[in-house]
Amino acid sequence: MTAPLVEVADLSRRFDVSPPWVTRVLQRRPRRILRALDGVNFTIAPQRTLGLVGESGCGKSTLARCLAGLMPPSSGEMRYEGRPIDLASRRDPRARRAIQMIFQDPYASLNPRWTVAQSVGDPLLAFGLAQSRAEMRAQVAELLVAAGLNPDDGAKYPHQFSGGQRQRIAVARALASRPAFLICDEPTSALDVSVQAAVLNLMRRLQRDHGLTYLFISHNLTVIEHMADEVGVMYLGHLVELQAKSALFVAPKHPYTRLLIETVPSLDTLGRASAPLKGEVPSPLDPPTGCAFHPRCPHANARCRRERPLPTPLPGGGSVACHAIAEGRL
Amino acid sequence: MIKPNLEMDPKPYVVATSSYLRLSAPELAQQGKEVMPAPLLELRDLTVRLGNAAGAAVLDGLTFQLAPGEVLGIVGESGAGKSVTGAAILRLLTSPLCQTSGEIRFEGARIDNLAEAQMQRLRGGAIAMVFQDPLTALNPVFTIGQQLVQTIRQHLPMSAAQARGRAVQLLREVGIPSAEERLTSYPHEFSGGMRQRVVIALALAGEPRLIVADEPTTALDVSIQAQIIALLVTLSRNRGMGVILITHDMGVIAEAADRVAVLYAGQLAELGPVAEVLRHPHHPYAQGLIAAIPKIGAGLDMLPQIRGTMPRIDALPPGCPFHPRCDRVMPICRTERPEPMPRSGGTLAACWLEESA
Ligand SMILES: Nc1ncnc2c1ncn2[C@@H]1O[C@H](COP(=O)(O)OP(=O)(O)OP(=O)(O)O)[C@@H](O)[C@H]1O
Ligand SMILES: Nc1ncnc2c1ncn2[C@@H]1O[C@H](COP(=O)(O)OP(=O)(O)O)[C@@H](O)[C@H]1O
Ligand code: SF4
Ligand code: SF4
Ligand SMILES: [Mg+2]
Ligand SMILES: [Mg+2]
Repeated sequence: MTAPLVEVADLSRRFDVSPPWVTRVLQRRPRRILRALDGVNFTIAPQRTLGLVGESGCGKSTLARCLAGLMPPSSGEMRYEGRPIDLASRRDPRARRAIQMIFQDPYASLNPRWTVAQSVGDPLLAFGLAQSRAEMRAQVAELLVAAGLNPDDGAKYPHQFSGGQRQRIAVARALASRPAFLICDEPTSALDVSVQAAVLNLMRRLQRDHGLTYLFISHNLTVIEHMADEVGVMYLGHLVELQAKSALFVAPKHPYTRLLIETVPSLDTLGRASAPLKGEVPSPLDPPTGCAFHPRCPHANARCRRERPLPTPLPGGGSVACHAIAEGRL
Repeated sequence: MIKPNLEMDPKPYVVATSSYLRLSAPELAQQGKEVMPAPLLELRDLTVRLGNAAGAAVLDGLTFQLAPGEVLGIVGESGAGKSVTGAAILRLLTSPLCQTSGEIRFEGARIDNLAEAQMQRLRGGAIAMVFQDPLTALNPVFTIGQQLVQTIRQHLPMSAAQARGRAVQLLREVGIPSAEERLTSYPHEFSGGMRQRVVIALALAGEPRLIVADEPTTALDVSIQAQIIALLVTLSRNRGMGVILITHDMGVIAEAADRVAVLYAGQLAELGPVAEVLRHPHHPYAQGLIAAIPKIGAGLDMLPQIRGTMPRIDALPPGCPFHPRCDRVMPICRTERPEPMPRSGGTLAACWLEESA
């Protein structure tokens, strides 16, 4: 067993979404805390891909931002190569270089007023990876080519590119600091299938060539199935299931995962709209008691409504947080 | 096929190929072709150019119809002209884009030459649009409730209290939890997916008969995506509401659409019943597009890619616009542009290839 590259322990993030204090005092409204992320644990082995899926608003992007150092977690820790990373300070030098993030909207990481070469070259300067202008130019050209772009594209601005090309530019920029761990938050969700195929192929090739480790977030289960080695399923701030991809898609354990896999829109569901998962997504402001999934779960019982299930290891590896499975009811 | 909605104006028309368009109903009946009620929406030879009649064509000769209660999917890669099609229907083309020829009819009457005041009444009312970017449709300084109530009252005669009740109902319909409480939330307080659901609720506020939905579920997770698609399909069936569903997710098309139009570089590459186009695509571009979709259990290392990229619309090659990327290109493809021609399975494909057996 290789030592994990990334270890995340008990990571939580709360948001204070209380009304302004005047309103609270005058209307006697309580303070409101939104638990976007609640005690998340996982590890990722080097050069592997952990895919993360889950309901909109379940905390995927919050997790990504915390790990990328863009937002401090409320509690919990992350270890990188066995050593703790200071997630609260945006300046942890080791993390800043080794951990990079790719967003759904590439504009989020590209300055529209910078040329592509400036955007891609900026991390080279910031980390002192290029000693001369000529060296920087050469490295930028190399990065652009690695991302499937033309070296001449460096002179252009982001708005002169298509969405797929902009995502390639964002990939080139993310790779500039020679990271080992890439956090990809819905990297192809805004792209057309033909362009998505090119970007996913690119990411896979780069992973192989540079030995990259990915945390790959997507709401699209078919994309996760294509990219991931392990898959984590999130629900309302909790990681409810974690399994090897091969196991998860063949034998999903958690009732939520089962329903998710049943509702994947695919070319085979032609002519019969899949029965959508019933019920509302509970508000993270007011999560259900016990197991957060119980109002939508066909296997819920009194214990589920009362007691929150904790992640329990599965015999074949991975974990699942469900009373029915722990009790052998499912 | 599409089920005719009998409550609608029974003006005869045909959902078929462009060559049938010029035939009258009795002539068609003679030929044994299906006669349908009036189309809800009809595009005839719609052409949109950059600047003026001499500018590059962003949309070139697009012809299709939409029946009441029908869902027509529009797919194609980014820049193919999907959003421009949607914007042209709503007359929301912004300079330098302009419609230079062709016509758009809604419930039989031309709408592409309506006065702006009349068009404004249609927009958000009888014809609604769900935009690709939820932030463009939502005003950051007003609460969700204020925006919903305002839109509802703009198009329906309701008191503020009634509109508020309707707003809660709409938010529930699109799957917003704690709908009542959420009325006082601002757009930025929602996650990306929830924001898009609010946008769909806004679109439904004016009780539309046609919804043009541009990437409506792109930002949503699968379980809610399925709910929203099911909701759009149900609304479409129950109210005879036509839906133009612009998406890059072929899985969504497979589940929701009755027919699908594949656009390439502003031109129609293939149009047909969804089962036919997905299972037996005729056009090499449509074939490539369908092959590029990841499929669960496929176990592919690399996904099949279409080589090259779509040309810029102001630098289209002569002949078939797809020819520089096509593996089956023939000499004629480089010089002559193929028109959409009928194929087996009720499909139209703009390609010089003969139908393979
Ligand atoms: N700055 C913030 N202030 C208050 N609440 C927030 C903030 N950022 C996120 N949230 C809330 O935290 C929860 C998790 O949000 P997050 O963006 O991580 O969801 P997500 O899983 O990425 O969703 P999506 O699939 O829609 O992108 C949501 O309920 C969201 O409304
Ligand atoms: N406002 C505009 N000005 C100039 N060109 C535009 C404008 N809007 C769209 N285009 C061009 O029209 C073509 C079709 O765009 P669009 O309909 O947005 O594509 P998509 O199929 O991705 O929705 C593209 O080449 C695009 O660059
Ligand atoms: S713990 Fe209970 S409610 Fe939760 S998923 Fe398991 S069976 Fe369903
Ligand atoms: S017309 Fe020719 S180039 Fe165009 S898609 Fe058909 S075979 Fe390919
Ligand atoms: Mg997100
Ligand atoms: Mg578009």
